[in-house]
Amino acid sequence: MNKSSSSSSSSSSSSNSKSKFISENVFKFQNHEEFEETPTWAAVVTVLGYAILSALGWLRDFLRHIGFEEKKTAYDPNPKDFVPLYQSYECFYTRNLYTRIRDVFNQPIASVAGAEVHVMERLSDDYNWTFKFSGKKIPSINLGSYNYLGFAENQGPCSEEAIKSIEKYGLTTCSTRHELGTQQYMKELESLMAEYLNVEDCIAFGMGFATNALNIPTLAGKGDLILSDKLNHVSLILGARLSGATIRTFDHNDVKDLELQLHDAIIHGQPRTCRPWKKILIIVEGVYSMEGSLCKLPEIIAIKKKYKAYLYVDEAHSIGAIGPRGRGVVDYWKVDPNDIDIHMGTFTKSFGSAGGYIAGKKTLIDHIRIYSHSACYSSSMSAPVVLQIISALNIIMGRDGTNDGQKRIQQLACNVRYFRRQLFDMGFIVYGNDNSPVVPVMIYMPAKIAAVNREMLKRGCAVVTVGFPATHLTESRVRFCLSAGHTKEMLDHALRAMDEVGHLVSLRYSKQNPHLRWHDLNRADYDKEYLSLN
Amino acid sequence: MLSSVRRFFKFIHWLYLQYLLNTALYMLEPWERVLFTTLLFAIISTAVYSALVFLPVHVRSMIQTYS
Repeated sequence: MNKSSSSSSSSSSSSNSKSKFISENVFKFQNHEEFEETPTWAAVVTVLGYAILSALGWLRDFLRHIGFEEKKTAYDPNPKDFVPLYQSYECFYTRNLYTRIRDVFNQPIASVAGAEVHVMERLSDDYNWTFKFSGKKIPSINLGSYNYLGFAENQGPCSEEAIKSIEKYGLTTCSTRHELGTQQYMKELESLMAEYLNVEDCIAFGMGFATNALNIPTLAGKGDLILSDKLNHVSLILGARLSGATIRTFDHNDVKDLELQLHDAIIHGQPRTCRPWKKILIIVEGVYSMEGSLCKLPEIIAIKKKYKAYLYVDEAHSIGAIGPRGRGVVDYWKVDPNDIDIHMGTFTKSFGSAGGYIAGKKTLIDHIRIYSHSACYSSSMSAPVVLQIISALNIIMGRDGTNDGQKRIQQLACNVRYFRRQLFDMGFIVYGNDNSPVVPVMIYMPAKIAAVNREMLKRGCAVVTVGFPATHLTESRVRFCLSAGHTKEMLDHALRAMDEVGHLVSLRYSKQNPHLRWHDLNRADYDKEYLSLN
Repeated sequence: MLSSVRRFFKFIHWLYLQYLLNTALYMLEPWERVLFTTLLFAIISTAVYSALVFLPVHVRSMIQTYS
C-alpha cells in the first residue's frame, strides 16, 4: 500500500515558455509527489502496541462483564434468541482504544477559526469518560482548519457584506429551491462561479457533503459503472452506493490500474448479462485530504477520451488553494475545463463559508436542477453564507480593485513550500505533493497520536491528529492545514514546536533524509526563498 | 556538574517516555502500566536467570561433543 513515487510533469516546458508574470515566477512548476515507505521496525512496533492494547482491552472487557468494573457505555444486553446488535471490531476499538485518548479528538473552540484559535481546555477525572470545562481558553496557532485562503475572519470586507445581507434579506428563505427559494443572490453566485471555473453553468447547494451524496444518484443509476479511487471521501462513496450503480475501485492515483479496469469493464460488460454498460463514470478528487496528493489529471483525461467514459472531479480541497490563479487542479495542470464533465467543489474550505457546487455544461446543470434530491427537498442557502462566498470570489478574481486575492494565493503557495521543505529536511515522513496545502506527517504508533497532540497544544499549536478509522489502522498521522493567514513568525513557531515534539516523541522516521534539528537547518536558504517569492 | 546530572535525569526521563510510547502504555491507566511492566519484568528476569544458570552447562557439553 505504501509506495515511493516521484513524478515530474511533462507539460513543464510549456508553462516555462509562457510570459513571465509575477504569478508565473512564483509558481515554478515542480510537481513532486512522494509517499515514503513505512520503516519495518515502525510497523512492527505499531502492531505490537495494538496487540498490547487489545490484550488489555480484553482484560477490561472481561472485568466489566463479570461486574468487577462498572459499564460506562451503552451495552447491548444480548438477550437469549436475539441476534447481537454490536459485533464488529469498531465497538471494541471505541471502548478501549479511542476513549483512552478521546481528549485529543473533537476539541471545542471558543473563537473564530482563523489563523489563531482559542481552544477550550477540558479536564477529565475518570480517564476521558466524562469531561469538564475548566473555563480556560488556550490561544494557539490554528493548523487544523481548512482555511486555505484565510477568509475565515470576523472582520474585513467579506463579513461586512454578510452582515449587510442579513439586514437586507434576513437569514432564511424558508423554502426549497424548487418552491420559492431561488433568490437573486443565488443566481449571482451561480453565474459568478461558472465564470470563475470557465464553464457554462453551475448550481450551488447548502451542504458540501450532501452535494456529493445526493447528486451522484442523479448522474448514475442501475446499469452504470462507477470507477472510484480507493481513497475517495465518504460522501462520494455514499453517493455511489445510493445511486445503485456497480462500483469498482482502482488503486490510489494509479492510472495503469484504472486503464486495466476500464479495459476489462468494456470487454466483459455488465456482470451477469454481459450487456454493455450504459455509462462509465470515473470519480477522482483534486486533492486527497488524508494523503495530500494531487490526482494525475492529464493522464486520466487521456484515458477517459480513449475509452469514452465520464469524469467527475471533486475539488473540495483544491479549489482556491491550488493553481497559479487559484482555480483548482484544472488550473494547476492547465487542462481544458470542457474535458472534465462534472466539476464539483465546496465553499467550506477556501471561501470561508459553507456549501457545495456542481459545474459543467448547461444541459447537465439543467438536468441536475430538476432531478437532484438536494435541489428539490433541502432548504436553499442562507443570505450571509452566499454573500460571504460572493465577496470572497470577488476578492480572489480581483474584481474589487485590489490585488488582495492574488496576494493571498501567492502567500499560501509560499507558506506551503516553506513549511513542507523544512519538515521534509528535518527527517519527518511527509506525504503528498509539494504544492498541496495539506501536510500529513506520519506518526504510526497509537500512543504517539495523543502525545503529539497534547505536546503541540502545550506549545501553542492546535493540530489535528488522525488515527483509525479515518486512516489505516497502522498509518496514523498528524495533518497540518496551512493557510494564507499564517505569517512567517507563526510558521516558525509551529516548526520549532514540531521540532521539539519530534525529538520528545521520536517522530523522525525518514530513511532518505538525515535527521536534523531545527537549529541545524540552514535558515538563510529557506528565508531567502520565502522572501524572494513574496 | 549539576547541569550534567540534570541532563542525565532528563535523558532517563526521555527513555522512559520512549518505552511508554512505543509499547502504548502511555494511554493506559497506572494500574495497567504496573501490570504490564510486572509481566514484562517477570518474563525478562526468567529468561536472564535461565540463561545464567543453564548456558555455561550447555556450552560446555556442546564443546565436549564437538571436540
